[in-house]
Amino acid sequence: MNQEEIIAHVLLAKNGNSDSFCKLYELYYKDMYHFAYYTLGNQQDAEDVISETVLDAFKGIRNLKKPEKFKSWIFQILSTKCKRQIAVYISNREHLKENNETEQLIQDDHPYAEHLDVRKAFSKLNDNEKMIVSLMVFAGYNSRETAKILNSQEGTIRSTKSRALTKMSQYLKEEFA
Amino acid sequence: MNEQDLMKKISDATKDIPIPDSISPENMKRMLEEHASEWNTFENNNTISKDKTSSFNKSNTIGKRNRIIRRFTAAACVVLCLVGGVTAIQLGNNKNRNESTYDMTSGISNEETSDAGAEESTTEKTDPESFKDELVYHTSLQSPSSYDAYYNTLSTAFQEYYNSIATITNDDIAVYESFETDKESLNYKYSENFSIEDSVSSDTRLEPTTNLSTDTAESTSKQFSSTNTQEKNIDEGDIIKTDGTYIYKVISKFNNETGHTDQSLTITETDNGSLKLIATIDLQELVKDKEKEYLNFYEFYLYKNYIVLMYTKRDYSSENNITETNIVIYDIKDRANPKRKKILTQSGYYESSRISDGFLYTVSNFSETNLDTPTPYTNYIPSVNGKTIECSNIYYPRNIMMTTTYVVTSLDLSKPTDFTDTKAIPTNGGQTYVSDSSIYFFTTLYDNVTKTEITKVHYNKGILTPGENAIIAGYLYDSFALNEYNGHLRIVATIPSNNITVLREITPLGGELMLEDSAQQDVEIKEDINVIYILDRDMKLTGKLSGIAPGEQIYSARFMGDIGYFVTFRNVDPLFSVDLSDPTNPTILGQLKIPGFSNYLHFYEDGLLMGLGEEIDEYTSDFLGLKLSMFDISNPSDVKEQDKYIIEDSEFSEAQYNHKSIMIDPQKNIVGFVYCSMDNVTYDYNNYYVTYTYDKEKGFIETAKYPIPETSLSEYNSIRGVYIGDYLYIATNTDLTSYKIGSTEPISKVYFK
Repeated sequence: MNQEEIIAHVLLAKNGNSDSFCKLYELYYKDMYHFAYYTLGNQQDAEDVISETVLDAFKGIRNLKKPEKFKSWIFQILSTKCKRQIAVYISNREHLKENNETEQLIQDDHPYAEHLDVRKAFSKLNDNEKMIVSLMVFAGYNSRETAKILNSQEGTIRSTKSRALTKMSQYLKEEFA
Repeated sequence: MNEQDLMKKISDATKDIPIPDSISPENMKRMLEEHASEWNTFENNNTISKDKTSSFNKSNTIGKRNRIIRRFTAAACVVLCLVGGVTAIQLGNNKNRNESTYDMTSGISNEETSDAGAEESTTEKTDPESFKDELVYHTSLQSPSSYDAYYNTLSTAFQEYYNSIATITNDDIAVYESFETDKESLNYKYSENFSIEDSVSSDTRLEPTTNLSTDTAESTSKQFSSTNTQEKNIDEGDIIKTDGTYIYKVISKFNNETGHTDQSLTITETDNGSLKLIATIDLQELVKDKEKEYLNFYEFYLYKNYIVLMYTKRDYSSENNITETNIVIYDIKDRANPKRKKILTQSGYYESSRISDGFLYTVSNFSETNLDTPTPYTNYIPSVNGKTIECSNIYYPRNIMMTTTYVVTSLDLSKPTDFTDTKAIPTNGGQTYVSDSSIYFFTTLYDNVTKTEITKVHYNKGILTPGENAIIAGYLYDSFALNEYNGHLRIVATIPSNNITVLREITPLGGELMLEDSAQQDVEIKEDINVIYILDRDMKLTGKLSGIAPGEQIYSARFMGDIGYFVTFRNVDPLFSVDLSDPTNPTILGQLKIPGFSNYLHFYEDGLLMGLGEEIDEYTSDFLGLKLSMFDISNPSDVKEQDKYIIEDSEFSEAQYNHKSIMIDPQKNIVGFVYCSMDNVTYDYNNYYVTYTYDKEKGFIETAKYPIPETSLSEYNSIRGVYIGDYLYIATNTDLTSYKIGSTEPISKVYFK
């Protein structure tokens, strides 16, 4: 879908056309799912935040002022929801449990050794680091945009990302050694 | 492996993750259609029934949406109508709404509701309205007459919230919440906030120091470091404390078998570098039922012969998943045999605390509100020590929303048997700033413009008096952006560029610092701007200065009496000095432009301000390393950089965003913190603890650099240093090592089990 088509679909969706909305959603939902799954480390919660994002986005799309920004807009809604979900985890033991289950799940489902390792390395990051790396990998934001979304500073984002990636490569090195 | 490769790997590694069918575009379309009919039902209920409670219950019978509503309940601070007027106008979107009902239960005045425009009015329209004359709004708090009346108020707010969800999402939705808040909450797996402490007297030989920077203890032979706090004399909790003889530290270890983090509190006796572990309190002993409870420990205080430890307890045996903040007090008169003395509880998870003037003030966040039924009250009214908080102690803002309720308690540490005072405030919170007379909660709200809501609670000898609420345009970078002095609250905020067209109040002051021409007010400004606000005791605006440093964001700030200093950054770092002596007219005194920026500012000694931040190449924007700067501020209108020290192998430091991780004592002339470096060849990642002194002639001098063993890598934010007399003690989650200050030769070491 080219940029003009995207804009056209956004305009239709603004008028309540759910077909158009879902066409737009189709463009990005895999990245959205990966983002949510990796940020939250849990399949069920990832599905839930995506459903909520879709509901909110569809109701709110009439306020989207720049149709060409649909992707970053929907990712911003999604990341907001993920942040909230993480806040819910904070004092919630289930998160830890589920995280372990997720690792299990990954192992069972995916025999590709290297991919498995990368994912395991990712699971070693803290939630904040996951959020930042996910935004940059799946949504393709640069550090300045990520800083905007998280209301942080570019320097902090850059150093957190750098720390996160270092942690991951450290882990990968240990695993391969 | 470089960063780009690794990012690509992550992306590749995820390609084969199966996407659940439930979120396929087809299923989402079905869901949207399903919900479309429910939304209609909901709106109809809203008009038909004048009885809020019954209509509310009716709407709850729609099972699937109910779950989603609950989620929103938790997520409610996402935005919303911050100002009564905005609420009303947004609600104007709902053509079915019944005005008189709203007036009755939400306290929104008729005047505002009747202003509510036609159906098509949007937030876009309302925002310029609400901020037309002022960048600051303030609202008052009120108490409910009864729990039932409060229930109705909450239910109404809940419905309003639901009805306005449609207006939540817009271009800017995500920037609604401060990153720092998340940082605090997200790092829950690691024990955060470690450092060094003060306000300990007791049977040790020393007089208690009030704070590092003001330490006037005469026994210079045996000075010791204390927690690096934002305000003098107001202690902040941490995971390491010392009283000059003993070092206390919370140790966290991940238990692979149980999947939990096991935590303990250790007491180590020091004697000129020699170390002896004399007590270990296994904090798991506080868990009554391992199957049903889970504890998270955050930080502790040392006060006379007490250790006061703060933690969150989650009990998920009951349906409601009760979360409460616990305050446990250990008597440590006999250091080798700490005795548990008392546990106090308050609803909600732990947010923050301070000790001021012998009183412990604790803030918790009660967010498990359930409004399905008017009883039991505990479903929506928080408790302290098992007792539901009385109506007279609940203070809600006029624009109450279904967000969280902040519980603030005070505890007299000279007789810590029960709370002195308790207040419950349903408001948006997030971060906490505490001055010597008030507690401020603040959070960034996201609507069409970024705003920060600040709630004030005055305190005096344990008595809490909720004050006014203010909403300002812009966001605050962290608690250092606030400072109270002589009854005035001074704030530095950044207003994101996409907000500016709706804010009419950009003061054109000319010159390089300010937006140049008033004609620009109607032109879309593409860049962020920064604002200084001064509010009086009633949270009313007395003066402001806007349009500072277009295109830059605030990176750090510090206030000293009438003068404020703050750093903004794009490619170079202007350090601004501001004269705040006239609360109605803050004025910029000067600015110093240097490459890079400071994340943290500290008054070092008379006329010197230290900055810790990053060196950035002015032209290429490359990161060149962490940087220490010393500014000569003896003439605030002509600030000079006296010295600059770049740590060349450095990547980042916890010190950049957690002031408590810095050991700093200008009197002792010592600065210590941990930083991380990466080997350019092997990409190995190493932590170093490093100490500096400052010499007026020679500038910063690195006195020692200690590699932190690899076993501690995963706990990069648990590494802290303290000094006692001439010795430096470096603690991690695994061990505590002593050195002579300036020497890297270990003297003694204890291992934590």
